[in-house]
Amino acid sequence: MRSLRFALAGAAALVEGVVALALIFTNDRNDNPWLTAAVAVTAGLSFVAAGLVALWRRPENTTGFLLSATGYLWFLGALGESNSPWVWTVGFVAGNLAFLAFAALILAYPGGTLGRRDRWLVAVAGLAAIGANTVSALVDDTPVTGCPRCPRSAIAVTDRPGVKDAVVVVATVVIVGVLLAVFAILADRWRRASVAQRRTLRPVFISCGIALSLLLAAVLTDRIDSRAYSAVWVLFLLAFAAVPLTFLAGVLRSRLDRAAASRMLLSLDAGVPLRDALAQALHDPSLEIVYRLDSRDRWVNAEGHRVDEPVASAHRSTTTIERNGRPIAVLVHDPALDAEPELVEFIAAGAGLSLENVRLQADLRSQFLMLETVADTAPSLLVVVDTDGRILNQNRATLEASGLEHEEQIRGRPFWEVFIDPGERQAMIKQFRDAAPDYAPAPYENAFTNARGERLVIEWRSAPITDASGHVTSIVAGGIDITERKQRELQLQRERDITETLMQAIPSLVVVVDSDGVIVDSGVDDTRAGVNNAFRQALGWPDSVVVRRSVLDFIDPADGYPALMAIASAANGVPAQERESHWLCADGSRLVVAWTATPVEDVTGRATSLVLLSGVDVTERKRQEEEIRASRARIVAAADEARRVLERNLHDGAQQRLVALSVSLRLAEAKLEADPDEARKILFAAREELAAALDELRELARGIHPAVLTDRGLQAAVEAAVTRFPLPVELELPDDRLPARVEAAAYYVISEALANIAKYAQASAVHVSVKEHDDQVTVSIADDGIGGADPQGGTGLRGLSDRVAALDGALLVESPEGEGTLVLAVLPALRPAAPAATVTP
Amino acid sequence: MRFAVLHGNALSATIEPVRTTILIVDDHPSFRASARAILEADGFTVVGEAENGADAIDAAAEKRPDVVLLDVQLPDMSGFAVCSAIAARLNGSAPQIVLVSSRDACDFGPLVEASGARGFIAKAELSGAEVTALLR
Repeated sequence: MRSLRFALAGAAALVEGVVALALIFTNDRNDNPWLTAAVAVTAGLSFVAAGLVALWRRPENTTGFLLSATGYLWFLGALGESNSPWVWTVGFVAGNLAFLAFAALILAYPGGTLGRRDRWLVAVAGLAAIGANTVSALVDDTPVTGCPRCPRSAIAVTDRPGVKDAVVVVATVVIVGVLLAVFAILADRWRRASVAQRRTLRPVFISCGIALSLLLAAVLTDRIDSRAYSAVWVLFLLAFAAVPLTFLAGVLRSRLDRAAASRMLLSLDAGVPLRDALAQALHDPSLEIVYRLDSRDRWVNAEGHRVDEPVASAHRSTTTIERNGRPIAVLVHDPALDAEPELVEFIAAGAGLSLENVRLQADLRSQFLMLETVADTAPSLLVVVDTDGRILNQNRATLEASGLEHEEQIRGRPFWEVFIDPGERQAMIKQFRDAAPDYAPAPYENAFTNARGERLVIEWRSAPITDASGHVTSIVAGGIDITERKQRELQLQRERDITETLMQAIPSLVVVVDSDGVIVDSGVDDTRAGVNNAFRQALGWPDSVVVRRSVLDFIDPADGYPALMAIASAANGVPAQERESHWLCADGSRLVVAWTATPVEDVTGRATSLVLLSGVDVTERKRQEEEIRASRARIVAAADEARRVLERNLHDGAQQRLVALSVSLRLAEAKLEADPDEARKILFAAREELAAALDELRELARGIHPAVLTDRGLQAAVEAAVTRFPLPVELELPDDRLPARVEAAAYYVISEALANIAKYAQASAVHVSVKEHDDQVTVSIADDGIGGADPQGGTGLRGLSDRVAALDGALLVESPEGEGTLVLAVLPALRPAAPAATVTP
Repeated sequence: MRFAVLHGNALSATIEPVRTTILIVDDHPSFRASARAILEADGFTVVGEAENGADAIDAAAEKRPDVVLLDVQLPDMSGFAVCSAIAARLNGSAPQIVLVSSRDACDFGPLVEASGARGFIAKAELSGAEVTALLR
């Protein structure tokens, strides 16, 4: 169907041509019909032919349509060759339509569409050309100036050549203006066109420029000189006939540019880079090639650098190059090349193998770049040395560690010169030589001072690189800068040492347990328990028994539950309050330990599952407290007893006598009158009773607190006491007074001891001494009796012990059987501090 | 201070000191002697003396005195206990008991009233008139 349509269109053009020829050769006023036939018919046919070819090849591009339209309309002008007035008039009026199509053709090239401004220009030109001829034909019988033999206008309604001339002048001015505007538009397009676009525009613009120039000249000369006009018109027709060929060439050029492909292949062979060769072949210096890496779905340029996936835009077009059905590259080019897809595909096909090669190279470069980036950005040191130990290559971290600034300062130097301290180099060189020829992978840690004077510790691992025959060609060594780690380890070790020393040195009992209360090991030695020396010494358990045993096994079961709760609380991060528990010793005894449970925190301050139990052995303190409590109770009881005895003595002694005395006096009073003698007897007895009562009261008062002790001191009081004692007593007493509390305590110790001797000792002699030295007063009472006295036995001695203890003194009783008894009290002298020496001026 | 128990067993008969027999119980010989002298001087007939609680109970049963002059503080038992024991032993025919002590009556609180004794006399104020006044 398509072929038929094109065949019919071609046939129509031929019919038009034949009709035109017939009109030309039947025209009786044409001086040179052959020339007209040759040029004019050729021009028309060439437009139609070129238009049809273009439409065949590029149906979507209106250039072909406008070309053929220009050709078909061109033949309307041939009607002007007719001798018939009507036919001639139609030719005269419609002959210029071809120029309107021509103008549209030029303005629409190469895109095939007319802008708004373009359409206005075409409309104005049409109005001027068609309208002026129509008006001319209406107002003038002979509308064509200088053609007296031309047929008369078939549509003339009046004959006013003046009006016609005026219309023609106006039309001429308008057409000249339109032509100049078209020139300006074309010049502007040329100026703004890219290189590739100019290549498309160049032949068309040249031919059109020539044709339009000649048309302009013809229009202008038509008004001046008909001979010159004829000559210019012939030249215009020649140029006009050539125009379609240039359009056709422009539209179909890629078909004709096989030479460009050949030149490109030759250029590639000559070593011209692919992109440059393609840019040259496609006449697009702005050409870019982007390669696709299959494996990673990435786009890179020829250097292997990653780029964005190319996307077509208004200013850049893309053409995807495929190979074996897979996209391998995208050409990013001038949109002008969109008009020549065959050219692009043809050139790309020619460069296919090269494209693939470059793509593979780009892929390799990309991978290499990635590796290089990885190596350079890695914190690890990477260095390659040859079998002489000379550095061949290294990454940035290695250069940084060396303390040098430029890799030229490292390259080629022996490894040990850069990374080993002078003192250790020989050993390193020997180690390196010994590793030959296999250079088996080996770890190595070294500390060195780099070029900046920094002290670094590097942990190296090396591995050999072999060639195809298995010979080691180089050795690659990877290193990690562990300087900070080493420092942290040292710091940690130091802190651990301090903690361990503290733990072992403090007198508190320390136990580290887990959240279940199981005693952990020391963390260094799993046979050593997490306890300190104070714990070991106080409780006496060996580590082998303690480690991994529940701490509750070492606490009295009665205290077990609260202890477990305290540990659980601390394991949850809440320190437990101090509590007292009975802890079990290896020897079966028990210690009262006041202890707390504290959560153990890690370096970040978060609670671990470990709990620190620290306690103080308060057994002795508790015992002393208990003793003090008992002593206080005994003192109170003794005082109560003393008061009870005193009351009893008063009641039984003096009070009874005074009661009897009262009764006797009452009796004497009653007898006084009746029986004076009896009364006198009674009074006499009463006086004796009164004396006895006084004696008893005196004795009683002495027993409470001897007045002589207060008034005249310890020496006089003891001497007074001894005078009533039934045994000889040897005294050794200080002449100076002691503080009252000390004298009282010493007096009662002596009194009680003498009373005991009198009651139990069966002694024959007693020695009493009171001595003061070094702020202490020593009271001793020794007898030669039977001994065997029990200090805890009687309340008397215990009361004395309390009295002495109340002064922070101590009472000692030595009483071996048959060897007498020694009671020894040591009391603080309690002398007030001497006033500070004053300085007199 | 004088303290007398104004109620107790009714003793409507006129107390005649001459006919009234009395048992003196006290561990102090000097007081017993003084008490005997002053009571006999006031017309009482002292039928016996006892120096502890146990002897007092036996003597009361044996001598059947009209009145027992009973010291509150005895070496073996308190006068209150002796008072109860005599009442129990001589059920229905128990003698009037007058408690004496060198202490003041208020030292014994409610014990005197609860003991069933006729009354209390401080030793220093003992006289036949005081005893008679209590028994009246």
